[in-house]
Amino acid sequence: MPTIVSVDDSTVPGEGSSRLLLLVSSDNKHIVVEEDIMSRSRFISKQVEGFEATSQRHAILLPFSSFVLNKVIEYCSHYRGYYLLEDDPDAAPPGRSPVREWDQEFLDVDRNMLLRIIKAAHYLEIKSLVGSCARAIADMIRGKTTEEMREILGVENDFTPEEEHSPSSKCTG
Amino acid sequence: MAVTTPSRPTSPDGNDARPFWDGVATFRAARYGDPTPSGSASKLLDVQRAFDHELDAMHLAMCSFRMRRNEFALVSRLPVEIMIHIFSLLADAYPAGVVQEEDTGQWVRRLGWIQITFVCRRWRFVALDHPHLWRDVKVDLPGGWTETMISRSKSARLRMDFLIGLEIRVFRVLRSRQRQVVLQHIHRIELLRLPSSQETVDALTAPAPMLQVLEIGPRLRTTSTILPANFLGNHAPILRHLLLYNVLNFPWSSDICKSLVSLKLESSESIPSRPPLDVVLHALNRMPSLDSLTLLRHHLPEPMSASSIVVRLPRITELTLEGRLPDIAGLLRQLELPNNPNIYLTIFCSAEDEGGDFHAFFSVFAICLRDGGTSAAPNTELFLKHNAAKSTFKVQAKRSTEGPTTTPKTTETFLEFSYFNEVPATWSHLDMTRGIFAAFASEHLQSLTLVVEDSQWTTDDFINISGYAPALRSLRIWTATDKAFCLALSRTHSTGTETRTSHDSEGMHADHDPSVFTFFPQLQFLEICTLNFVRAFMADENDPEGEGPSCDTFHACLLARAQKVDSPLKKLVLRGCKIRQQWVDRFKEAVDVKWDGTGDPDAPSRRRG
Repeated sequence: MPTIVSVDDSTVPGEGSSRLLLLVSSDNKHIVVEEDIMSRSRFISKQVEGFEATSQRHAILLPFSSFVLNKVIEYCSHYRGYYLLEDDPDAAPPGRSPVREWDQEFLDVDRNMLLRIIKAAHYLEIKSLVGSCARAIADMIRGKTTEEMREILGVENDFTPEEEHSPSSKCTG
Repeated sequence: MAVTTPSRPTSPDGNDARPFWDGVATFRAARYGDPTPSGSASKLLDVQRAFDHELDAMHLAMCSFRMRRNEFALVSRLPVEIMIHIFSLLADAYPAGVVQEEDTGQWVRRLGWIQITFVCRRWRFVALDHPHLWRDVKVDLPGGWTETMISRSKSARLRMDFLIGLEIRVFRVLRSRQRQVVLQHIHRIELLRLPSSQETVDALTAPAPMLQVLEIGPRLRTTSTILPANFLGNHAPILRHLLLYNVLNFPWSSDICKSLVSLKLESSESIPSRPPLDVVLHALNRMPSLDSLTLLRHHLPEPMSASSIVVRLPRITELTLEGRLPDIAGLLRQLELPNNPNIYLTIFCSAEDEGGDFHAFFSVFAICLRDGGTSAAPNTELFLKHNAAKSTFKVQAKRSTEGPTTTPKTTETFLEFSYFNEVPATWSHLDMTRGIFAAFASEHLQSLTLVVEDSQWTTDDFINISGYAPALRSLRIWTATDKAFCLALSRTHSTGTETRTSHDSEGMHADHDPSVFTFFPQLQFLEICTLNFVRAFMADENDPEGEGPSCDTFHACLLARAQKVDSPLKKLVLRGCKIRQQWVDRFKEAVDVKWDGTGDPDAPSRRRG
């Protein structure tokens, strides 16, 4: 659960036609964003519902950096007002589909950034972004050798010789 | 040569591990003393074994270190559900088994996505802990992988496809071991695609409570197999899609049909006893969810003189029938279809078939095609072709998928009707076309392609067809009956007769009556191709009545169309028409013209070219 702190009115700009939210990143950057933009995040939506119940204004503390948070906000801003099937909780899960063109460009980032974005999207419950990132990662390792996959994702071969030669063995580590 | 140990960088926190591990290595190595020349061979061997043991232990320790290191890798910190998501996508996009490579077209056997289980311990742990990842059991992997995948799938529903690539590779039968795998797990198989053999089909008698998709083929196999009487133990309660190629003795009365959404039966071999129509109708009546029905050739039921059963198929969206006219007509008469199903009919006619059923057939056809005027997807395109040389008749119709719009952008083919072999002599192209138009809701028709080889067509026949499609904007006509067509084109409301023409100052005919045309008045695009252009080409230009598109009357009325104030005609395409360059130039002043130039009598060199 995120930490929710009370904030005074001066922290949050006045309410306009679209309400404003204060998001606080793990590096303690305060980012004000319209609620509409972040409505794609089920996590944020649930938080906002909670605010309405208590009629208090809150900042939402998030466990990732402002750099990552700004990327997520960029994504949400781009798709503001768009209907994306993946984000519809009532829709059947979409089948295999290619990554949207804009998403491809948006996710043309280094490996670590991509992994941070998918983790943040998962935390914020933005299914469409999780899906696009997952497809991007799958595309990254598709057709690669085991060694190439290790290199791409920055992991080492940690199998014992016995495990390595017995692919059916289940690792318990 | 002096041996030097490789240097390693200092650790990032400044705490150099090198001296520590050097110390440990020196300490452990010292336990075994120095090798001396006098040492016995067996002793030296023992020491070597001891060092091997040390190395194994070090390797294990290094694995522990690598594992700890991996725990700090970003990818290892992803939640398990995300990793499963990635693995599932990879399993779809990069499947294991025998596959055709996209770039080279070569068939290769590969582990595909399964390679992820060799990357690191965590990945293997996650993949092995999620049985559904293993449900697509591959049967063409070596080294016991089939059994491994089944074992890893635990109790998940299985998908077994033995047909991948088979149609374009060598037809195979299921090997005994593979058949055993299928039979052993039939209770939890969700999708099964099998190459047919009598031995395999005979064995399919156990209930399949989880089976949703069953295909027995492949399509190109020519030898037939016979289904056992207790196929699937008559118990496959959630079977949705059933495709059987060259499989005989289909159990129409079995309970396995109740939940079907799509049923496709095809047989190229003659069936000794085809199912009676009543049996098929009763069976269809018990398939309320049926969305797609395909009955090809010998699976069509025997027609009956009359049946009181009318089967309502409220959800049918696609109906494909192929066979003899009496069989197709016999079945169609008993079906009550919803609005706008996609219908694909291929009719083969044998010598003994008569054309006597023509009107009955089109009345059935009408029932299939009428949209009652309330359709959200009006018919927009129609293609009619009668090939006299091949004695075939072909109809293709498309409709807007966007509902009623003035300019539909997306259309789908919803009717294909091909009549092969002998079109009965009593069925003229004109009759066929009339029958189609009488049956076809064409008030929104925007595009018509009409291949008219039949010289029986009169001007009035063309005008009548025009009456069926008042909104037509595009007409492509390949005609042998040039004169009748060009007179129809010139017909107007005001006089009810052909447009009067006279010579203008340039010696060409000009239109005198540019009132509203009767023949497709909304026409924006017109393409004319004379099938018998040689005849038109050779026609005598001095013939006052003209001979088809070579006559000046025709040119004059075309020009009148193009020049009429607010004329909708925008583009004219002429192929094989005998026409002078001067006329074409005049057309170009009014509309966009594409002319192949084949028929200019003043340009003999071009003709030769």
